[in-house]
Amino acid sequence: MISIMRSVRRMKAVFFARNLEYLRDRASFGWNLVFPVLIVFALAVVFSGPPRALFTVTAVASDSLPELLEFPGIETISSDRSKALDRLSRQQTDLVVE
Amino acid sequence: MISIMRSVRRMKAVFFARNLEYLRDRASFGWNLVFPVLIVFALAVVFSGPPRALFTVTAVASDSLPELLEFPGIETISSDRSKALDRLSRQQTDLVVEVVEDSVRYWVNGNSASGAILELLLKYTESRSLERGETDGEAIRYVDWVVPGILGMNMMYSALWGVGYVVVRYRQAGYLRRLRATPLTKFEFLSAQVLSRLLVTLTASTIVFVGTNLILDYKMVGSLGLLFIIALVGGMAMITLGLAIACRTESKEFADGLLNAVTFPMLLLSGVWFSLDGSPYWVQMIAQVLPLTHVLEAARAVMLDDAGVTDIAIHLAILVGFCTVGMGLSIKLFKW
Repeated sequence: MISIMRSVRRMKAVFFARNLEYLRDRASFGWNLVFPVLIVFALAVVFSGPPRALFTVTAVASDSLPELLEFPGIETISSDRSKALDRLSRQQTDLVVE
Repeated sequence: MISIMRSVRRMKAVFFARNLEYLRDRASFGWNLVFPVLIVFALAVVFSGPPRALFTVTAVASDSLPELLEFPGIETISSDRSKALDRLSRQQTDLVVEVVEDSVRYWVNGNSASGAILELLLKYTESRSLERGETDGEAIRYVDWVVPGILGMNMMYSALWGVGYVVVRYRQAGYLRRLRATPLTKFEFLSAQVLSRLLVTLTASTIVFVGTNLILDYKMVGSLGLLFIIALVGGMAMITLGLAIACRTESKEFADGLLNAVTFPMLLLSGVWFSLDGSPYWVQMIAQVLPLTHVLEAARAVMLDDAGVTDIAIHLAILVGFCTVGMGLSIKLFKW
Protein backbone atom coordinates (compact mmCIF):
# COMPACT_ATOMS: atom_id res chain seq x y z
CA MET A 1 0.00 0.00 0.00
CA ILE A 2 2.69 2.43 0.99
CA SER A 3 4.73 1.44 -2.05
CA ILE A 4 1.80 2.25 -4.38
CA MET A 5 1.34 5.67 -2.74
CA ARG A 6 5.03 6.34 -3.19
CA SER A 7 4.83 5.27 -6.82
CA VAL A 8 1.92 7.63 -7.44
CA ARG A 9 3.83 10.45 -5.75
CA ARG A 10 6.84 9.87 -8.00
CA MET A 11 4.62 9.87 -11.09
CA LYS A 12 2.99 13.09 -9.92
CA ALA A 13 6.39 14.74 -9.58
CA VAL A 14 7.42 13.85 -13.15
CA PHE A 15 3.96 14.81 -14.43
CA PHE A 16 4.12 18.29 -12.88
CA ALA A 17 7.70 18.81 -13.97
CA ARG A 18 6.80 18.04 -17.58
CA ASN A 19 3.67 20.26 -17.46
CA LEU A 20 5.69 23.18 -16.16
CA GLU A 21 8.42 22.62 -18.72
CA TYR A 22 5.80 22.81 -21.48
CA LEU A 23 4.00 25.86 -20.09
CA ARG A 24 7.25 27.76 -19.73
CA ASP A 25 8.19 27.13 -23.35
CA ARG A 26 5.97 29.98 -24.54
CA ALA A 27 6.79 29.58 -28.23
CA SER A 28 5.64 26.00 -28.68
CA PHE A 29 2.72 26.52 -26.30
CA GLY A 30 1.44 29.47 -28.31
CA TRP A 31 2.05 27.79 -31.62
CA ASN A 32 0.05 24.72 -30.57
CA LEU A 33 -2.99 26.94 -30.06
CA VAL A 34 -2.54 29.51 -32.79
CA PHE A 35 -1.61 27.22 -35.67
CA PRO A 36 -4.84 25.15 -35.91
CA VAL A 37 -7.01 28.24 -35.43
CA LEU A 38 -5.20 29.98 -38.30
CA ILE A 39 -5.65 26.98 -40.62
CA VAL A 40 -9.34 26.62 -39.79
CA PHE A 41 -10.00 30.30 -40.50
CA ALA A 42 -7.92 30.32 -43.65
CA LEU A 43 -9.85 27.34 -45.04
CA ALA A 44 -13.18 28.79 -43.99
CA VAL A 45 -12.41 31.98 -45.90
CA VAL A 46 -11.05 30.20 -48.98
CA PHE A 47 -14.00 27.81 -49.29
CA SER A 48 -16.76 30.24 -48.40
CA GLY A 49 -18.96 31.79 -51.07
CA PRO A 50 -21.64 30.16 -53.23
CA PRO A 51 -21.19 26.53 -54.31
CA ARG A 52 -19.45 26.00 -57.63
CA ALA A 53 -21.63 25.62 -60.70
CA LEU A 54 -22.19 22.08 -61.94
CA PHE A 55 -21.88 22.90 -65.61
CA THR A 56 -20.43 25.73 -67.65
CA VAL A 57 -22.16 26.72 -70.87
CA THR A 58 -20.51 29.15 -73.27
CA ALA A 59 -22.93 31.33 -75.23
CA VAL A 60 -21.58 32.78 -78.46
CA ALA A 61 -22.73 36.39 -78.17
CA SER A 62 -26.41 36.53 -79.04
CA ASP A 63 -29.82 37.39 -77.57
CA SER A 64 -32.75 35.12 -76.77
CA LEU A 65 -30.57 32.45 -75.16
CA PRO A 66 -32.00 28.96 -74.54
CA GLU A 67 -34.12 28.50 -71.45
CA LEU A 68 -31.64 25.84 -70.28
CA LEU A 69 -29.19 28.53 -69.20
CA GLU A 70 -31.55 29.71 -66.46
CA PHE A 71 -31.42 26.31 -64.80
CA PRO A 72 -29.89 26.15 -61.32
CA GLY A 73 -26.29 24.95 -61.24
CA ILE A 74 -25.52 26.18 -64.76
CA GLU A 75 -23.04 29.00 -65.18
CA THR A 76 -23.08 30.90 -68.46
CA ILE A 77 -20.14 32.74 -69.95
CA SER A 78 -20.03 34.49 -73.31
CA SER A 79 -17.23 34.37 -75.80
CA ASP A 80 -16.67 34.35 -79.56
CA ARG A 81 -17.15 31.10 -81.42
CA SER A 82 -13.54 30.02 -82.06
CA LYS A 83 -12.48 30.63 -78.46
CA ALA A 84 -15.59 28.84 -77.23
CA LEU A 85 -14.83 25.79 -79.37
CA ASP A 86 -11.22 25.80 -78.17
CA ARG A 87 -12.45 25.78 -74.59
CA LEU A 88 -14.88 22.99 -75.46
CA SER A 89 -12.15 20.76 -76.89
CA ARG A 90 -10.17 21.17 -73.66
CA GLN A 91 -13.34 20.41 -71.63
CA GLN A 92 -13.10 23.78 -69.92
CA THR A 93 -16.72 24.34 -70.90
CA ASP A 94 -19.39 21.65 -71.23
CA LEU A 95 -21.58 23.05 -74.02
CA VAL A 96 -21.44 25.84 -76.59
CA VAL A 97 -24.65 27.47 -77.86
CA GLU A 98 -25.20 30.13 -80.49
CA MET B 1 35.46 50.52 -56.71
CA ILE B 2 37.92 48.46 -54.71
CA SER B 3 35.61 48.52 -51.70
CA ILE B 4 32.76 47.08 -53.83
CA MET B 5 35.03 44.29 -55.09
CA ARG B 6 36.03 43.48 -51.54
CA SER B 7 32.41 43.44 -50.49
CA VAL B 8 31.57 41.02 -53.30
CA ARG B 9 34.48 38.79 -52.30
CA ARG B 10 33.26 38.63 -48.70
CA MET B 11 29.75 37.80 -49.85
CA LYS B 12 31.14 35.06 -52.10
CA ALA B 13 33.05 33.50 -49.21
CA VAL B 14 29.92 33.31 -47.03
CA PHE B 15 27.88 32.11 -50.01
CA PHE B 16 30.22 29.17 -50.71
CA ALA B 17 30.58 28.31 -47.05
CA ARG B 18 26.81 28.10 -46.66
CA ASN B 19 26.43 25.99 -49.83
CA LEU B 20 29.01 23.49 -48.60
CA GLU B 21 27.46 23.36 -45.16
CA TYR B 22 24.10 22.52 -46.70
CA LEU B 23 25.48 19.88 -49.07
CA ARG B 24 27.37 18.17 -46.24
CA ASP B 25 24.25 17.95 -44.06
CA ARG B 26 23.05 14.81 -45.82
CA ALA B 27 19.86 14.43 -43.80
CA SER B 28 18.30 17.78 -44.58
CA PHE B 29 19.67 17.73 -48.15
CA GLY B 30 18.08 14.33 -48.80
CA TRP B 31 14.82 15.25 -47.12
CA ASN B 32 14.52 18.40 -49.23
CA LEU B 33 14.76 16.28 -52.37
CA VAL B 34 12.77 13.28 -51.21
CA PHE B 35 9.91 15.13 -49.55
CA PRO B 36 8.41 16.90 -52.62
CA VAL B 37 8.84 13.75 -54.74
CA LEU B 38 6.94 11.74 -52.12
CA ILE B 39 4.12 14.29 -52.01
CA VAL B 40 3.75 14.31 -55.79
CA PHE B 41 3.60 10.51 -55.93
CA ALA B 42 1.25 10.20 -53.00
CA LEU B 43 -1.17 12.72 -54.51
CA ALA B 44 -0.93 11.08 -57.95
CA VAL B 45 -1.84 7.72 -56.44
CA VAL B 46 -4.63 9.05 -54.25
CA PHE B 47 -6.23 10.93 -57.13
CA SER B 48 -5.68 8.24 -59.74
CA GLY B 49 -8.50 6.02 -60.91
CA PRO B 50 -11.52 6.93 -63.00
CA PRO B 51 -12.85 10.51 -62.86
CA ARG B 52 -15.45 11.14 -60.20
CA ALA B 53 -19.07 10.77 -61.21
CA LEU B 54 -21.05 13.95 -61.80
CA PHE B 55 -24.13 12.72 -59.98
CA THR B 56 -24.85 10.03 -57.40
CA VAL B 57 -28.18 8.26 -57.50
CA THR B 58 -29.25 5.95 -54.69
CA ALA B 59 -31.47 3.06 -55.75
CA VAL B 60 -33.62 1.55 -53.04
CA ALA B 61 -33.06 -2.17 -53.62
CA SER B 62 -35.23 -3.19 -56.57
CA ASP B 63 -35.03 -4.56 -60.11
CA SER B 64 -35.80 -2.91 -63.44
CA LEU B 65 -34.07 0.33 -62.51
CA PRO B 66 -34.71 3.45 -64.60
CA GLU B 67 -32.77 3.80 -67.83
CA LEU B 68 -31.36 7.08 -66.46
CA LEU B 69 -28.88 5.18 -64.29
CA GLU B 70 -27.00 3.96 -67.35
CA PHE B 71 -26.21 7.52 -68.35
CA PRO B 72 -22.48 8.44 -68.39
CA GLY B 73 -21.32 10.33 -65.31
CA ILE B 74 -24.00 8.87 -63.07
CA GLU B 75 -22.91 6.60 -60.26
CA THR B 76 -25.50 4.32 -58.68
CA ILE B 77 -25.37 3.00 -55.14
CA SER B 78 -27.99 0.89 -53.43
CA SER B 79 -29.25 1.29 -49.91
CA ASP B 80 -32.43 0.97 -47.89
CA ARG B 81 -34.94 3.78 -48.07
CA SER B 82 -34.43 5.53 -44.73
CA LYS B 83 -30.63 5.63 -45.11
CA ALA B 84 -31.02 6.83 -48.69
CA LEU B 85 -33.30 9.69 -47.61
CA ASP B 86 -30.86 10.63 -44.83
CA ARG B 87 -28.10 10.84 -47.40
CA LEU B 88 -30.35 12.89 -49.67
CA SER B 89 -31.09 15.46 -46.98
CA ARG B 90 -27.33 15.89 -46.40
CA GLN B 91 -26.85 16.12 -50.19
CA GLN B 92 -24.50 13.16 -50.16
CA THR B 93 -26.65 11.70 -52.93
CA ASP B 94 -28.53 13.69 -55.58
CA LEU B 95 -31.56 11.51 -56.26
CA VAL B 96 -33.25 8.51 -54.66
CA VAL B 97 -35.29 6.15 -56.86
CA GLU B 98 -37.48 3.20 -55.95
CA VAL B 99 -39.36 1.06 -58.45
CA VAL B 100 -42.77 -0.05 -57.18
CA GLU B 101 -44.56 -2.39 -59.60
CA ASP B 102 -45.14 -0.26 -62.70
CA SER B 103 -44.29 3.15 -61.34
CA VAL B 104 -41.12 4.88 -60.21
CA ARG B 105 -41.01 6.81 -56.96
CA TYR B 106 -38.24 9.36 -56.64
CA TRP B 107 -37.07 11.91 -54.10
CA VAL B 108 -34.99 15.04 -54.65
CA ASN B 109 -33.55 17.63 -52.28
CA GLY B 110 -35.25 20.96 -52.93
CA ASN B 111 -32.00 22.85 -52.23
CA SER B 112 -29.89 20.96 -54.72
CA ALA B 113 -29.22 22.03 -58.30
CA SER B 114 -28.01 18.52 -59.15
CA GLY B 115 -31.35 17.17 -57.98
CA ALA B 116 -33.24 19.54 -60.26
CA ILE B 117 -31.16 18.50 -63.27
CA LEU B 118 -31.53 14.79 -62.54
CA GLU B 119 -35.27 15.19 -62.08
CA LEU B 120 -35.51 16.72 -65.54
CA LEU B 121 -33.44 13.89 -67.04
CA LEU B 122 -35.55 11.27 -65.29
CA LYS B 123 -38.77 12.78 -66.63
CA TYR B 124 -37.25 12.83 -70.09
CA THR B 125 -35.99 9.23 -70.10
CA GLU B 126 -38.56 7.36 -68.02
CA SER B 127 -41.67 5.91 -69.69
CA ARG B 128 -43.32 4.58 -66.52
CA SER B 129 -45.40 6.83 -64.29
CA LEU B 130 -43.48 8.93 -61.79
CA GLU B 131 -44.25 9.80 -58.19
CA ARG B 132 -42.34 12.69 -56.64
CA GLY B 133 -41.08 13.17 -53.08
CA GLU B 134 -38.96 15.98 -51.66
CA THR B 135 -36.64 16.50 -48.72
CA ASP B 136 -34.62 19.51 -47.74
CA GLY B 137 -31.40 20.07 -45.85
CA GLU B 138 -28.15 21.80 -46.61
CA ALA B 139 -25.02 20.17 -47.97
CA ILE B 140 -22.13 19.61 -45.60
CA ARG B 141 -19.71 22.47 -46.09
CA TYR B 142 -16.02 21.78 -46.53
CA VAL B 143 -15.38 23.57 -43.23
CA ASP B 144 -17.70 21.16 -41.41
CA TRP B 145 -15.77 18.29 -42.92
CA VAL B 146 -12.24 19.61 -42.52
CA VAL B 147 -12.39 20.87 -38.92
CA PRO B 148 -12.10 17.37 -37.37
CA GLY B 149 -9.19 16.76 -39.75
CA ILE B 150 -7.30 19.83 -38.60
CA LEU B 151 -7.93 19.17 -34.92
CA GLY B 152 -6.75 15.59 -35.44
CA MET B 153 -3.65 16.69 -37.32
CA ASN B 154 -2.74 19.12 -34.57
CA MET B 155 -3.26 16.40 -31.99
CA MET B 156 -1.03 14.07 -33.98
CA TYR B 157 1.87 16.55 -34.14
CA SER B 158 1.47 17.55 -30.51
CA ALA B 159 1.33 13.90 -29.39
CA LEU B 160 4.17 12.52 -31.49
CA TRP B 161 6.67 15.37 -31.16
CA GLY B 162 5.70 16.31 -27.63
CA VAL B 163 6.69 12.87 -26.41
CA GLY B 164 8.93 11.32 -29.04
CA TYR B 165 11.24 14.27 -29.54
CA VAL B 166 11.29 15.34 -25.90
CA VAL B 167 12.29 11.94 -24.52
CA VAL B 168 15.15 11.70 -27.02
CA ARG B 169 16.25 15.20 -26.01
CA TYR B 170 16.20 14.12 -22.34
CA ARG B 171 18.36 11.14 -23.24
CA GLN B 172 20.86 13.20 -25.23
CA ALA B 173 21.14 15.76 -22.45
CA GLY B 174 21.91 13.05 -19.91
CA TYR B 175 18.72 13.82 -17.93
CA LEU B 176 17.45 10.22 -18.17
CA ARG B 177 20.71 8.81 -16.76
CA ARG B 178 20.28 10.99 -13.70
CA LEU B 179 16.66 9.88 -13.26
CA ARG B 180 17.84 6.30 -13.40
CA ALA B 181 19.70 6.84 -10.13
CA THR B 182 16.40 7.72 -8.42
CA PRO B 183 13.70 5.24 -7.28
CA LEU B 184 11.60 6.24 -10.33
CA THR B 185 10.64 3.17 -12.42
CA LYS B 186 10.34 3.05 -16.22
CA PHE B 187 6.61 2.57 -15.93
CA GLU B 188 6.21 5.58 -13.66
CA PHE B 189 8.31 7.80 -15.88
CA LEU B 190 6.56 6.76 -19.10
CA SER B 191 3.06 7.00 -17.59
CA ALA B 192 3.75 10.49 -16.31
CA GLN B 193 4.97 11.53 -19.78
CA VAL B 194 1.82 10.12 -21.40
CA LEU B 195 -0.52 11.75 -18.88
CA SER B 196 1.16 15.14 -19.11
CA ARG B 197 1.02 15.17 -22.89
CA LEU B 198 -2.56 13.91 -22.87
CA LEU B 199 -3.56 16.81 -20.62
CA VAL B 200 -1.81 19.30 -22.89
CA THR B 201 -3.22 17.85 -26.11
CA LEU B 202 -6.80 17.60 -24.87
CA THR B 203 -6.74 21.09 -23.38
CA ALA B 204 -5.38 22.62 -26.57
CA SER B 205 -7.87 20.71 -28.75
CA THR B 206 -10.78 21.73 -26.52
CA ILE B 207 -9.80 25.40 -26.65
CA VAL B 208 -9.42 25.31 -30.43
CA PHE B 209 -12.68 23.38 -30.87
CA VAL B 210 -14.74 25.74 -28.73
CA GLY B 211 -13.06 28.89 -30.03
CA THR B 212 -13.46 28.14 -33.72
CA ASN B 213 -16.99 26.82 -33.25
CA LEU B 214 -18.08 30.06 -31.58
CA ILE B 215 -17.12 31.99 -34.69
CA LEU B 216 -17.64 29.55 -37.57
CA ASP B 217 -20.53 27.55 -36.11
CA TYR B 218 -19.57 24.36 -37.91
CA LYS B 219 -21.67 21.25 -37.74
CA MET B 220 -21.66 19.23 -34.53
CA VAL B 221 -24.78 17.09 -34.23
CA GLY B 222 -23.50 14.21 -32.09
CA SER B 223 -22.58 13.72 -28.46
CA LEU B 224 -19.81 15.93 -27.05
CA GLY B 225 -18.95 13.28 -24.48
CA LEU B 226 -18.39 10.69 -27.17
CA LEU B 227 -16.21 13.12 -29.13
CA PHE B 228 -14.14 13.67 -25.99
CA ILE B 229 -13.68 9.91 -25.56
CA ILE B 230 -12.47 9.66 -29.17
CA ALA B 231 -9.97 12.46 -28.55
CA LEU B 232 -8.84 10.80 -25.32
CA VAL B 233 -8.28 7.34 -26.78
CA GLY B 234 -6.94 8.69 -30.08
CA GLY B 235 -4.56 11.09 -28.36
CA MET B 236 -3.28 8.30 -26.17
CA ALA B 237 -2.79 5.99 -29.18
CA MET B 238 -0.60 8.58 -30.90
CA ILE B 239 1.29 9.50 -27.73
CA THR B 240 2.21 5.87 -27.08
CA LEU B 241 3.31 5.61 -30.71
CA GLY B 242 5.63 8.58 -30.12
CA LEU B 243 6.89 6.89 -26.97
CA ALA B 244 7.63 3.67 -28.84
CA ILE B 245 9.66 5.66 -31.38
CA ALA B 246 11.63 7.37 -28.62
CA CYS B 247 12.19 4.40 -26.35
CA ARG B 248 15.68 3.58 -27.64
CA THR B 249 16.58 6.32 -30.09
CA GLU B 250 19.81 8.13 -29.23
CA SER B 251 19.97 10.99 -31.71
CA LYS B 252 17.57 13.87 -32.21
CA GLU B 253 18.15 13.84 -35.97
CA PHE B 254 17.20 10.17 -36.21
CA ALA B 255 14.12 10.71 -34.03
CA ASP B 256 13.18 13.60 -36.29
CA GLY B 257 13.38 11.36 -39.36
CA LEU B 258 11.37 8.59 -37.72
CA LEU B 259 8.69 11.01 -36.56
CA ASN B 260 8.45 12.49 -40.06
CA ALA B 261 8.18 9.00 -41.53
CA VAL B 262 5.21 8.29 -39.25
CA THR B 263 3.40 11.65 -39.42
CA PHE B 264 3.79 12.11 -43.15
CA PRO B 265 1.64 9.12 -44.26
CA MET B 266 -1.00 10.12 -41.73
CA LEU B 267 -1.02 13.69 -43.00
CA LEU B 268 -1.76 12.50 -46.55
CA LEU B 269 -3.63 9.22 -46.20
CA SER B 270 -5.74 9.55 -43.07
CA GLY B 271 -8.23 11.89 -44.69
CA VAL B 272 -7.15 15.13 -43.01
CA TRP B 273 -7.69 17.32 -46.07
CA PHE B 274 -9.72 15.27 -48.52
CA SER B 275 -11.83 12.14 -48.54
CA LEU B 276 -10.11 8.95 -49.65
CA ASP B 277 -13.39 7.42 -50.90
CA GLY B 278 -12.29 7.59 -54.52
CA SER B 279 -8.73 6.34 -54.02
CA PRO B 280 -7.49 2.83 -54.88
CA TYR B 281 -8.29 -0.03 -52.54
CA TRP B 282 -4.71 -0.60 -51.39
CA VAL B 283 -4.36 3.05 -50.37
CA GLN B 284 -7.44 2.68 -48.21
CA MET B 285 -5.94 -0.47 -46.71
CA ILE B 286 -2.75 1.40 -45.77
CA ALA B 287 -4.90 4.11 -44.23
CA GLN B 288 -6.54 1.54 -41.96
CA VAL B 289 -3.27 0.83 -40.13
CA LEU B 290 -2.81 4.52 -39.24
CA PRO B 291 -4.30 5.59 -35.91
CA LEU B 292 -5.30 9.04 -37.19
CA THR B 293 -7.61 7.44 -39.79
CA HIS B 294 -9.67 5.85 -37.03
CA VAL B 295 -9.72 9.04 -34.97
CA LEU B 296 -11.04 11.03 -37.94
CA GLU B 297 -13.57 8.46 -39.14
CA ALA B 298 -15.02 8.21 -35.65
CA ALA B 299 -14.98 11.98 -35.04
CA ARG B 300 -16.68 12.73 -38.38
CA ALA B 301 -19.29 10.04 -37.76
CA VAL B 302 -20.15 11.70 -34.43
CA MET B 303 -19.93 15.32 -35.58
CA LEU B 304 -21.67 15.01 -38.96
CA ASP B 305 -23.91 11.92 -38.71
CA ASP B 306 -24.76 11.76 -34.99
CA ALA B 307 -23.21 8.29 -34.65
CA GLY B 308 -23.59 6.45 -31.33
CA VAL B 309 -21.13 4.34 -29.36
CA THR B 310 -22.00 1.15 -31.23
CA ASP B 311 -21.41 2.80 -34.63
CA ILE B 312 -17.86 3.77 -33.75
CA ALA B 313 -17.03 0.90 -31.38
CA ILE B 314 -14.75 -0.71 -33.96
CA HIS B 315 -12.65 2.45 -34.27
CA LEU B 316 -12.42 2.84 -30.50
CA ALA B 317 -11.39 -0.81 -30.12
CA ILE B 318 -8.63 -0.43 -32.72
CA LEU B 319 -7.36 2.72 -31.00
CA VAL B 320 -7.31 0.97 -27.63
CA GLY B 321 -5.32 -1.77 -29.36
CA PHE B 322 -2.80 0.84 -30.58
CA CYS B 323 -2.48 2.18 -27.00
CA THR B 324 -1.88 -1.26 -25.54
CA VAL B 325 0.72 -2.27 -28.12
CA GLY B 326 2.45 1.13 -28.01
CA MET B 327 2.64 1.28 -24.21
CA GLY B 328 3.66 -2.39 -23.94
CA LEU B 329 6.45 -1.99 -26.49
CA SER B 330 7.67 1.23 -24.87
CA ILE B 331 7.94 -0.29 -21.39
CA LYS B 332 9.59 -3.43 -22.71
CA LEU B 333 12.14 -1.68 -24.93
CA PHE B 334 12.75 1.54 -23.01
CA LYS B 335 16.35 2.37 -22.15
CA TRP B 336 17.23 5.22 -19.81
